[in-house]
Amino acid sequence: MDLSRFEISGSDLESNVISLQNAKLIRLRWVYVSVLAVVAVLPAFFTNRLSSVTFFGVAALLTFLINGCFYVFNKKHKQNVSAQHILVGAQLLLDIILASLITFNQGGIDARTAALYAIPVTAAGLLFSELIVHCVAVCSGIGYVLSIVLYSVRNGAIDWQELLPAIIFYPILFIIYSTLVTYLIKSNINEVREQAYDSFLALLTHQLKRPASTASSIIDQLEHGIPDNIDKQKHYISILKSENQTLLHLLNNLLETAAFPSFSDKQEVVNLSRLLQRVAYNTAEASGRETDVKIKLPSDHLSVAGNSGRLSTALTNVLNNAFQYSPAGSPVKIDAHESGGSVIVSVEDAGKGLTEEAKNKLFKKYTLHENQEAGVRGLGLGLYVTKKIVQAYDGNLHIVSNKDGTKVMLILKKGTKK
Amino acid sequence: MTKRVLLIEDFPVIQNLYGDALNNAGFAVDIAADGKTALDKVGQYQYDVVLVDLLLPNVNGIQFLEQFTNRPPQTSVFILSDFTDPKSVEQAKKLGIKGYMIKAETTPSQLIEKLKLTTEPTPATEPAAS
Repeated sequence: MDLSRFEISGSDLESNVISLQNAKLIRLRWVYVSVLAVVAVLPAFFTNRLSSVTFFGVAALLTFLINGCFYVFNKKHKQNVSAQHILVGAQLLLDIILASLITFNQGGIDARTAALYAIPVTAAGLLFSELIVHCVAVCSGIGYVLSIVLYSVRNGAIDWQELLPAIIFYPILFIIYSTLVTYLIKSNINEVREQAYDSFLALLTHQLKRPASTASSIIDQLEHGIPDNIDKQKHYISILKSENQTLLHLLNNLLETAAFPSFSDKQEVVNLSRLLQRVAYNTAEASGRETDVKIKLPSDHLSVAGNSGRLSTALTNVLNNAFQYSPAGSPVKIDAHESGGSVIVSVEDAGKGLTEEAKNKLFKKYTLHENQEAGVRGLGLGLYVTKKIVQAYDGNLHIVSNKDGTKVMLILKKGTKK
Repeated sequence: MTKRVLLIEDFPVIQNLYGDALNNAGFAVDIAADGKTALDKVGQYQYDVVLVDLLLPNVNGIQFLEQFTNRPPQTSVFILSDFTDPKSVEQAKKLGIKGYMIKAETTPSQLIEKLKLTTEPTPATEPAAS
């Protein structure tokens, strides 16, 4: 199965995976410190070159301390993907500099010191970019070549006959090694994608099956003549209606997600007043919150530019969230008014509001509100789809949230009849 | 003797549908909307059957099974869920469940049939005639 189109970037999965990879990198660097000690320090003891021992001892200690700092930083900034990338980049640079310093100090063409460059190239492979791995291999090659050339210059004579094969051979070796690493990393990325895909499929089937399983249970009971009470039968039928609407809405959101970026429908002038009233009462009824809706419209003729089907999906997503994330009995206020060349629709609930972390994840695909995942009837696509729809019609979406509730504002372009 | 069932399910509609059906079929039904409440209930009462949804708030289905270790031997635990993530299914099977039922494919009537079979006393084996 070709999962290369299955995006994980920008998702929590990516930041978790990068954090884990960075943790692996830090463990790898503990190995690097040990290798540094064995490769560089021990021979210096046997040759009695104490200055070298001091130099490499300091280098090992420095690497140890910096690795410790990276470990703490990685723990604290797990969700920050950019910080993770900067962290890894800094580590790679440090590794190349240290390897080059050792090569310069040890001097000569030495396979032991060339082997030290394998660490940053391997570590670079833990970033998800093939280009960066090759860049690190090239930088390692340059670092190595400069170090041996400068060593020769320091000794007063450059023996090109001796240097030339090393200058050509080792950088090529680094590039070959980086190609091997990228091949291994690609198979790792596919594994990550498969995991993400499996998790998404499991959630998708669960959320889509829920209305279906409710419907099949109700039909089963009605077939067996249960309940025999006419009011309860009517109640079961209204549940069937509401579950069917939920299923259609989930499918709509999925289709909208799949439709991007080929989003090309004809814009029309939509009567927002009528659309908003219909959507508000339908979603309230589906949530059993008919008495909680407070709708305020200046007129019956507010018009916006867009497509009524897609705008209905966008408004339904916002209203569903308001009903799902606020307690029953609390008001959900809907307001729409003109402002210059726009129409502003606001939906305000009296729920617990959003944490800073939740606000950062709001528009990410497949992300549900924390602590609510099990009860929520959705795929984590609602606000992602709503924002895409609104922006496609030159509008925008803003959210203000605190402990007293959340207010979502959709700014839509006013529709003008030609 | 009335068999006692604990239904661990967070969705009120399903709670009512399966709960009413089981009551009508002669089972005594307790409902828990999350794993934490379920753990309290199994600590207080002995159930013949426990039906566990996987996606639950607070303590989820797998966490409930991991913590529900001192099960009486006559308690049969079934997963009743639409969540069929392969890892979760594998994990649940390792935690000693008697069966895994998918809600969308298990109507209340079918569930009742299954539970009646599960909770029927096993007939004593007669010794072979000498």
